[in-house]
Amino acid sequence: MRDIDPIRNPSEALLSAALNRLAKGSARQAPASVGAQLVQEFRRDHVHRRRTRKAVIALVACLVLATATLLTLKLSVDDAQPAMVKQPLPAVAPNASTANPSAATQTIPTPVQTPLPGRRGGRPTATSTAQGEFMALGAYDPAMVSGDLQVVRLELTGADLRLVGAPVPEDLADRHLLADIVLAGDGTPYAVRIVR
Amino acid sequence: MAERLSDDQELLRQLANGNEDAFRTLYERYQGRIYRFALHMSGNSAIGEETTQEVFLALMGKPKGYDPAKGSLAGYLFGMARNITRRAMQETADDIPLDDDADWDELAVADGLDVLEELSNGELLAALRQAVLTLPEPYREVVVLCDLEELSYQEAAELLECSPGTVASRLSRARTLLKKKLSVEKVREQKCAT
Repeated sequence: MRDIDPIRNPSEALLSAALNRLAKGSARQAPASVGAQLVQEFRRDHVHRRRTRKAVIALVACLVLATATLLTLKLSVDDAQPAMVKQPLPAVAPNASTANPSAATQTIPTPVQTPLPGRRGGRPTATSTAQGEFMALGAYDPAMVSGDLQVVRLELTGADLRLVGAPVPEDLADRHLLADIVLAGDGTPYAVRIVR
Repeated sequence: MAERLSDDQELLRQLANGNEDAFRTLYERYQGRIYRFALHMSGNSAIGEETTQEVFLALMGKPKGYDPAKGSLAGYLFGMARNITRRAMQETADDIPLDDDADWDELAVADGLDVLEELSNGELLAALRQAVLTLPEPYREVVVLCDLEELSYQEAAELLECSPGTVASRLSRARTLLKKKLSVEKVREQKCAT
């Protein structure tokens, strides 16, 4: 606000005083009904938002559960089908890295058509993600491996492969990928190799 | 709620999380200014109410729409209030047309008269209210913000996104226009009386 000298500029002072009176004579607040309506609207809006959020969370949870179930079922069915394309797991030579089991640095070599020995000393790499090489999954534990392993070739979506722990980039989640999966006798996936 | 709701950003964050107290605090903080701004700009209490409601509905619907880097929350809300008021006035055709140039020709006669002194208090306020409403929008805004809402030039400049110098010059021009409009009104009244 400007300071107006009422002696030098009487009309300015009068105008300022009049504007001041006009301001003071006007309503200072919006009517209470406006606030009440807005608060009601706020409550309605947030109840709706909470419901929507809960529904979305439930839907996502259902989808994840359904995908996991389907994947498990599919793996079980595939394992049970004798006509399925199966390859013997490539032989893995024992490695010095067994001295340090946590190191997990050895790569399963490119498959060779030989039966898998009962126990293996080495652990496949968890770092190699290149196509053509097997990569150990979280379920693989060299100390626990017993019996024959099998390689099953499957066509799965990137998302499904990610679910079992394969290093598939997120942008390939919707793509169908051909992969070889090393399965234990009980169907547990031990390693994966992206074929195409 | 025991938590102290202090600054606007924190209130907005809580508003987005559905905190009703945060919404009430923000509403109480800004509703008066927004309502009065819309009321003085339009001269219509319904538009004042509608604008207040729409501004807060917009804030409620999109609390993250406010970017602190672009200015104060008050400025953001006033920006919305300006647009909503303008639109509402256009829709309701309540915007009073500006006086034509012929009226202003009388000013040469009226300008020298200190007719403000001759008007009674009630007459003066009624005439002044009308005169404010007939000011062109940029002038009306500065009169409403600086004279009626008593904001500083700096504050008004931030809200109007212009420089304080622009606010000052617009206000000076607006006051001159107001005095002239009041003078014209007085001259008309005198003509009617005779």
